[in-house]
Amino acid sequence: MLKVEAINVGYGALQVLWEVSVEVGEGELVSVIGPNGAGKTTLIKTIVGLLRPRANHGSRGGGRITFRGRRIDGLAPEKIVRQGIAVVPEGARVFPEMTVLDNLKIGAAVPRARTRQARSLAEVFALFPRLEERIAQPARTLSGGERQMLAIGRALMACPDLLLLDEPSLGLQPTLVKGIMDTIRRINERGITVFLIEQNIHFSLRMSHRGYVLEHGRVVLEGKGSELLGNPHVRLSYLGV
Amino acid sequence: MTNDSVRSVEQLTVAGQTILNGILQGGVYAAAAVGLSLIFGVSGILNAAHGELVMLGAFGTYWLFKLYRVDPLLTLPISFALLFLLGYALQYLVLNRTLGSPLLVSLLVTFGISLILVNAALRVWSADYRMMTVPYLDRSLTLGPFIVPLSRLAAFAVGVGAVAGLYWLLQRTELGRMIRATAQDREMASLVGVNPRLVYALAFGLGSGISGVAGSLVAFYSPVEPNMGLTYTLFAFSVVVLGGMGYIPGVLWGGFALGIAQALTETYIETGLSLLVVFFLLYLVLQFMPAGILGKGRIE
Repeated sequence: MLKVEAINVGYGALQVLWEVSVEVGEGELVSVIGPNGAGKTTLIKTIVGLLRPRANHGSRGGGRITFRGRRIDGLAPEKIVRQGIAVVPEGARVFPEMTVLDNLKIGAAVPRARTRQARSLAEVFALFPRLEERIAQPARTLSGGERQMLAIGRALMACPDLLLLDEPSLGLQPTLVKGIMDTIRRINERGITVFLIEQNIHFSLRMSHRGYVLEHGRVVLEGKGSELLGNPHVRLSYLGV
Repeated sequence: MTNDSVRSVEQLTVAGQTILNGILQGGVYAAAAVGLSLIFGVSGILNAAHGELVMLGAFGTYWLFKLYRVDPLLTLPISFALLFLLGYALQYLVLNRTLGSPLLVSLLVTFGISLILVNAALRVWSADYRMMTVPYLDRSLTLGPFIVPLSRLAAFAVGVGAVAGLYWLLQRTELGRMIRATAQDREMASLVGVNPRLVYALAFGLGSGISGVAGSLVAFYSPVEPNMGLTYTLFAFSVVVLGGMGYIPGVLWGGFALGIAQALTETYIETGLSLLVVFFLLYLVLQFMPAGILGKGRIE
């Protein structure tokens, strides 16, 4: 469904991603793990069009990104998400001065989701009853966990085929992390393809079909979630055992 | 009644009439300023050509009335539509190229636009002052001891209505949600499928259209000329600062404050000093209440 092929991405003279290739198949839940600064967020930003692969990088160029066989690298973010990709960015980035309801409604701004708005809203409230309790509150008054719920709900309002999540558990208290992770698994079980970036590999790799390990801007390992969790390098670097 | 009490009743009537005049004028100032507030709040552009949009709206109404005998009230939607298109085009074709540059760049570009508009207007319409007289708006209502000219009352009602309508649109419609989302986090708005460049153009169009309507209202009761824009740019900046930068309903209170201060100056001090008083008031607010008289503006 999503194919990232040998992309090179950087900021000015600083290159962050080196020939990174990642693939996500229809219906899969795929995780990317890696230490801070490995380029995980850069990878998501490039997929959604906030950053572009380098135009000139040797004979291979900056690489290419395709979604359902169509090239999306180089398109504006709003054109990429309209094809059925929704994103929960790092830090949730809810619209602070808008109410919970308005944050959810704006999630359905893409043409494909507009007519299904009422049904999507009911589904999101079924998934996160807490959001319905807070429906008229400005998003800035929500707790960190509620903001993540709202960001996930906003993304679901777009009726996406592919959901990208950038560290949804970051900064949440441990008791909430399991809840968010369970929700992500349930979203995937409903048929939405999920591409998850997560530091909390204990949860993420166990529920993932496949995973990638990104270090220093390069994919150093890939495999089934359970295999990676048993890999000596992963166990030593990320679990300390 | 004694002479003294007659005099004090007269004084009270004059004071009341002055404040009433100020409020009526303030409604129009609010409409003339709300576009500036909207455009600044959404795209961060300080539009130095703002008053010229008011001037164009005023001329639109004047010529439609003078040449084609269009009822002045019917010119309001025409004024809105024409100025909306102009604003939309200015943002889409010119100002979108300044996105991401420092504030000074858009300020310089809009200053250039204002020079072009003023000089084009001088060239086409000359520097003459033009005044239109509308028979049915020329009458006055008498409310107890107070006199309310119909032209002023109509201008006030439409002006306040335009501000309220814009507020409703921002809070209650899909377009309003898109505009607010873009104002709060442009990148995130694009990630939910909103095209920020289109939203900026629509916001500029809306702000410009309302300014045009305000100009049409001004033409109901005061002369129209190409250089009138500068005053309205200054008034609009003052109103927005008084009401709080980026806080849309604040323009009503800012407009009333400006209108009343100006009317009081003209009645009790001297007509020529009204601008001085306005700027002194502005100075006081910036110094002591930088978030506006309601404290709801954005300070950066």
